[in-house]
Amino acid sequence: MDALTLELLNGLSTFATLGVVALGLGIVFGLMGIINLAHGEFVMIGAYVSYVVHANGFSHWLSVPLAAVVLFVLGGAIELTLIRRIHRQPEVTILATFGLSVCLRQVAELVFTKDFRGVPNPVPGATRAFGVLFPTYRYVLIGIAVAVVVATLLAFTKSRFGLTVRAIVADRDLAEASGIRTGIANLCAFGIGAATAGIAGALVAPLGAIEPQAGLAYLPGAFLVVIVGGFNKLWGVVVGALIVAGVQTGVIHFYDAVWAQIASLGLAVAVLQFRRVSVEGASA
Amino acid sequence: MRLEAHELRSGHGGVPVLHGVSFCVGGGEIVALVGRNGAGKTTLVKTVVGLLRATGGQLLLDGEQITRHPPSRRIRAGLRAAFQERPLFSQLSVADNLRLSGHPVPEHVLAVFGDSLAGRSAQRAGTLSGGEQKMLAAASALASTASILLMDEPTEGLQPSNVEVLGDRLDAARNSGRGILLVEQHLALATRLADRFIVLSKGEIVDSGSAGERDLADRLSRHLAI
Amino acid sequence: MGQRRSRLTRSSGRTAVMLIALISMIAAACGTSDDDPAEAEPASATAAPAADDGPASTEPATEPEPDSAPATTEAADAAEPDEPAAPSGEPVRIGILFSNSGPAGIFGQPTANIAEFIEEDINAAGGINGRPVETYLADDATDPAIGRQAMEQLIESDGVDVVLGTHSSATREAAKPLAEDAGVLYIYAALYEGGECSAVMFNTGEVPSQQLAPVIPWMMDETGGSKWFLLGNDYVWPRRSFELARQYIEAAGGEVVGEEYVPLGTQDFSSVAQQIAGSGAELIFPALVGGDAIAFETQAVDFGIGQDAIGRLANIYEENVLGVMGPSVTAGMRVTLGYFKEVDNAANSEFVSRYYERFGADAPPHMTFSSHIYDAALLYAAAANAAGTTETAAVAAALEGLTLSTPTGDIAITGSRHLSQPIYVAEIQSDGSQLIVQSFPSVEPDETCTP
Repeated sequence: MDALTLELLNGLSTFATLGVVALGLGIVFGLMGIINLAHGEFVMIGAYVSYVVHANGFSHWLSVPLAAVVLFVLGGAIELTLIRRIHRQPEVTILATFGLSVCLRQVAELVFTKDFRGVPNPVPGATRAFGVLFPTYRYVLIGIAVAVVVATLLAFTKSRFGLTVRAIVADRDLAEASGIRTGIANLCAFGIGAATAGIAGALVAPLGAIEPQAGLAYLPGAFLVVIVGGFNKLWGVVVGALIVAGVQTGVIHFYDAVWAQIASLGLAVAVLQFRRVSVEGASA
Repeated sequence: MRLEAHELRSGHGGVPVLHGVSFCVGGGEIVALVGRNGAGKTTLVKTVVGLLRATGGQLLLDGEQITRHPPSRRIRAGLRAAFQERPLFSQLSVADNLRLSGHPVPEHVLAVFGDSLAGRSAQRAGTLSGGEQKMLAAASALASTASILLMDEPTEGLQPSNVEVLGDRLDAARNSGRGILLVEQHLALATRLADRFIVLSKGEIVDSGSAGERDLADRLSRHLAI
Repeated sequence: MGQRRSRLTRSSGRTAVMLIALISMIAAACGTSDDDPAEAEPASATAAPAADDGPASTEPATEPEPDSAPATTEAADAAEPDEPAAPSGEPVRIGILFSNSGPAGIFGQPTANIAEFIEEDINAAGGINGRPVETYLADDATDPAIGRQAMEQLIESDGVDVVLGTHSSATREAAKPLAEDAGVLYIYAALYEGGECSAVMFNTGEVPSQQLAPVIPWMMDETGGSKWFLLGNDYVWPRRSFELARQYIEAAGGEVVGEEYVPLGTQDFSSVAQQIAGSGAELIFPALVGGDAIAFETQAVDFGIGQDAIGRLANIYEENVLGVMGPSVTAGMRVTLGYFKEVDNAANSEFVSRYYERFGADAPPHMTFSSHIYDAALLYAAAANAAGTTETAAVAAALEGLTLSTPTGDIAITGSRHLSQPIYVAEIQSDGSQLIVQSFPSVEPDETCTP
């Protein structure tokens, strides 16, 4: 019973992490049709923000909103200077964001060197709840991640901004002809996508190593979530994260982590076969 | 407000469609743009709104250059179009469609055509019939504050009774001082409403005239004859 | 639909092409700030980009201070007078294939630094057969395909006489055929899973049998624990290490209560942590590398299976990784390796202080990888001097049975073309420093090789 509770909590924390990492990818892909191969680097930069906050003696909690702001500005700048000019050509954006990811890693290396960095856990130890001991920070992570995902999804589905963004997704021409400033909406969408990645990076920073390559590990999982969850509906990110987290936790429990990775990839292949999604699936 | 096009050129994917089209639409008048299928009518509307880039010529709104402005800026300057194809966001609800057009009270707009659309604001626009979608798009454009309206074949798919209603609404809009470019393939509504006519053929204006001219009906029939 | 797309192609096609060109240029510019992966350059050019304070001379013939040669080549009869003459003539080229970027790039800088000492020290001792040595560095970017290109560069363009390697086994397997075809001696100096055997190869890194055979029984004695959990990344080195560990554990009367592998790049260890917590393990042997090690250890504490609860014996945790974990996580952990900079002998103390004087107090620490590269270079120099030539077969013959005393301790090439070497166990102190608590001199590798 306790073992099951623990696995459920594990699954929940995997789900929360995957969800918040994949959210930005889902926004940018689902709404703009852009496959952002630099998304993992946004997560990496978010983690470095939390390292800088720690190194300057400030609280880890400050790094979560700060990473969001930094990445929103960075994402916005990238949209303005790079994405804006090519966003209607999916294959070009893949190349461009790949180049961007290489560049961001190199810049991180120049600034922070290749050395591993870390930030201490702001709430070390475990909390007893539901009859089991579970790391306190993971409860916090689950809480913040779920709040960020839900707030972002609500913003995109319930607000006026969300409506305009959905209109752009539905029919870009008609949106423009309805007077929507699609440029600003894209800027915001890309910025928000980057900001959620930054939050993800700051959240996972105390759980592992921070280094220039750290973002690479997040990209496959995030893509898996977006693929499984579907491209057109933002809530698909939640569904995708749920399915992927469930499969991973389950397979790790019954077999091991290596099989979990294989199972995840198998899941992606199966879903793609089933959906027959083209690269342009989202933008049409 | 006055929309002027001078030697407007435009096309798709490098293939020119409009070969220098000049016309104007002033406040308080309805200008009918007629022509056969493929004459370039929709291309012209999209070029005026800014969805297609003009490859030559000029567009002026009240004398101000808008040739290079993005669509959103033209809309804010007072232009508005109701398109022939895909006139609505079919995945969004009727209410959301109207909200995007800047109408906070959707029911007010739905009432333009009497009862037929009333109470359907929560429905997905794509589930409306083609005629209903056209009506909604037209109603939305009419309910906007735009001074110049571009109506691309608004009667297509409409029941005769609704065509009557639409005609009345367009007439009222003209009388309130708005300018309307009415694109029509069928002459009935156009001849009833229009102050002036432009005939487009193969991307060029081949004829034009005023409602009072005696042989106009003959000339229009000849241009539109197959 | 058609209209929408067509509007774009016309105008943005050109822009896009220009943009791609621009981006690739930016990416390339960013890239060159470091090192072009497959590009080899003389060490003096790349080895010390950060150390502009050091007198990194490009002219091996004009080495200034012959005072610093901690390695005494006891290697027999190399015709060496007491005062070595300054070497002259065509240089002997020593290639160093290493990882300076990619995941293992973190170990690159110490090796690049040590390349400077290799040149200095061998030349100060008279060079090789009277000729000066030059080092050529090539980066494999932690990628076997690039590693193969780098090896090609060293052999074809730089014309090296020997390649010293510290990189992954995958790169070794990709690069080895090139050395074999060219008949170039290849000394692989990184710790690895063992089993390598080739006519042109010597393997001087620690193999699992050396790191584990003496240390596992010692660890069980020391801690009183006998139930082990083996947790490793999923590739050949951890798997081979665990295969042997299981033998030594069982031979010492212990028990393996769990063996788990996780993919490289694993970030979430929650499920694994719970398995360990429920296994009744008294000791953990984590064969995890880099970020995976950091993620596991930092997460393990919160799951109640930190070092304070279950003792660790690690075979790869090195200073950078331990430093990020922090002393609160690492204090008490034991690490078994063939070298620590804390190794207590006069030659090593002198060598280590010279390292930090040259490269700065905050230089990336000199550690087992860079130390083994240094030793490999000295072994090569001694063998080539003994052979009186740099011809591969002759040097290889001279290498077998060669003994040497270096800052690492006493080392000897075995008949299996591996290295008999000391093995040290360091315990992490509460201030994060490493204290050598046990050393096993001249541990023989359990290897066989007759090429």
